[in-house]
Amino acid sequence: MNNQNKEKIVLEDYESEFLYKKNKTNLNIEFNRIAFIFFVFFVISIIYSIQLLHLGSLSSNFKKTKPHINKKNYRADIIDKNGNYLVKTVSSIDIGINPTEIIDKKKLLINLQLIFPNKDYSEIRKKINKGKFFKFEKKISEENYEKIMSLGDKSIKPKETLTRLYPQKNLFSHIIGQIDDENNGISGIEKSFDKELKKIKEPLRLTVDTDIQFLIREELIKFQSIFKSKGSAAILMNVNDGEVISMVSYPDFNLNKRQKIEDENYINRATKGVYELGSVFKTFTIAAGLDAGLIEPDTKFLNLDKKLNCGKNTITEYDNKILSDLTVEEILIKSGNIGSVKIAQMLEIEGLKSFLEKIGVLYKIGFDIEEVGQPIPFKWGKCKLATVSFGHGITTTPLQLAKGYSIISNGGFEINPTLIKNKKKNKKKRVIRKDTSEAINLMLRKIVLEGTAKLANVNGYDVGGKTGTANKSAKGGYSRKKINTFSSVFPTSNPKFVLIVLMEETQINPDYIYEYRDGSGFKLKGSPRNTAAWTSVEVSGKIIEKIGPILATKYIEN
Amino acid sequence: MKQILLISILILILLTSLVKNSTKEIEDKIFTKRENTRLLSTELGNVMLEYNYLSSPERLMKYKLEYFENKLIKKEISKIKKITIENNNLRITNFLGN
Repeated sequence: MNNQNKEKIVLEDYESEFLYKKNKTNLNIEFNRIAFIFFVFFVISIIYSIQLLHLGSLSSNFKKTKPHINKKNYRADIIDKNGNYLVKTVSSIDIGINPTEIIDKKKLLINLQLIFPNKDYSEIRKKINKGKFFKFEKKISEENYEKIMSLGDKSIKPKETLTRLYPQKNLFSHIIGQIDDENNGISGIEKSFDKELKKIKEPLRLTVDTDIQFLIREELIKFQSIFKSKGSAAILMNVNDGEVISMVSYPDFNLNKRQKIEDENYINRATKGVYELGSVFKTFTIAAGLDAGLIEPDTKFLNLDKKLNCGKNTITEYDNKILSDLTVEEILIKSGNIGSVKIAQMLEIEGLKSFLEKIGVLYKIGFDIEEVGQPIPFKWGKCKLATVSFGHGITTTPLQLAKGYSIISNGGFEINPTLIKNKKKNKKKRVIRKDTSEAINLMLRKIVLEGTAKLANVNGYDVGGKTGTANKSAKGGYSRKKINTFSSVFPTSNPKFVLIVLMEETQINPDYIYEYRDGSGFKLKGSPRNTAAWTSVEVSGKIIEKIGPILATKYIEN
Repeated sequence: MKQILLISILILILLTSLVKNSTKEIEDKIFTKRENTRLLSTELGNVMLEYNYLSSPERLMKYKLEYFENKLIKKEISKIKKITIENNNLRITNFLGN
């Protein structure tokens, strides 16, 4: 219809097109009810699954609630090889005062005076008047903590801090070292294992033995007063794995006192002290000659000079009674200087130098504490070669000496000294021939049986060793002060331990009574000479006598 | 087929939830045990510290001087014997001989 025909009415028959069809939309009500229920279940299960996934993705409470280690207030304990505590961390409380929060100054001071009567309160009053926070008392007892907190003063601020307790006091002072107020290691194991000690949950186990350390230290203290020495050091090490069983440097200090040690006499002589050690080096010269195949123990040196001139210096024998015809073995037993020089000359510079490098006495070595001395570098030359052969003009540390003697006596295997138990060890590497090691062990035993170290012949332990007496170097030459060293290995039939005893600036004692160990029962009053044979050897003998039974029953058997 | 799949998914979900629940219970138990162990080990540490201090070589030597001055004597290693049990028989040998 258009607009022009608006008024025209047209009537048409109406025909309905509606027809009811039952399945017009294919709607199956019965089926859809079930589907709907399933759909609801499906939605519920999806929601439940999402919830499960969400719960599953959360890290479990179990992990979260593990004891939290606060780096600032945590430091692992240190134990010896038998599980005895050397260091134990306990938490303590320091009390500080914030003057700005004080309500009644007079009342507070009176109350504090009642709890801590021995403090200087004029000083504390001054600090309060300054208005700045200050530490009032460190490490207070539980009783005093309760008393001070019951005052209820807001200005009193308790702070939990870490305290290291050293139940063995001085015994391991040089090994363990100290920490500062901020829980940072400043020396010894505390410094070199600072990160580990803040991280590890189990105590750090060392290789040292408290009982043996105590016995060795006792002997050093005793003989320090007998021979009036300035200081002394001893190292007991397992020759097969380099584990240090004992390391003492005397004088030492009580770690619980937390002193600031500045006196040089308190240095760790065993690792940091660098010394000319004298004749103990002859063992290395002879071992080098044997290892290079240049000599045999019975190789004879005839018509050895009584003195040799080298530049401005003259090399003489220490004892004029030493014969001119000597075998290699006799050179070591009688500690002949000229014979040692001859062997070194056969080796030449490269031969001796490379041998000393191999056994680790020439350059600074790595160790588990940072206090390690650096041998003084020098230029090799003909004269140097001669003096080095008998241990003069060359320096090293007692720790390196222990390493060198361990390698020489253990069959020639390289070892690295360590203080840490269960440390990963490198595969055994032989650096010296087995027969060289065996020959040296026999010679070392003969030195104790027939040579300069008879006082160390402790019955039952098969001790072998070499003495070394050296004058301390001074400006422009040498002083009369002595460094007396004895390097011993036992039992020489199957070496297990090396013991180094070094005594600095010893003096003879006219009243000390030596008991000979040859079974004669002979006693000698007074030290005949200020040499290693009459000082360090005697100390070593006494030490082995005391620690021997422990070592034999505790270490060798197992 | 679809229904079987759906039912098996539902069963799996149900089982997972059961396992998860029991795991949480076990974790709680472990946590409690660990906490108890931690407290006990702290206590043990303190007791050990006390023991180490009281039985330190320094103190033992003091006690020796005080109470056993002449009773404790040094034993030569060569005189120490070793007892071993072999086939229900005691065998005594020299300690150093082994």
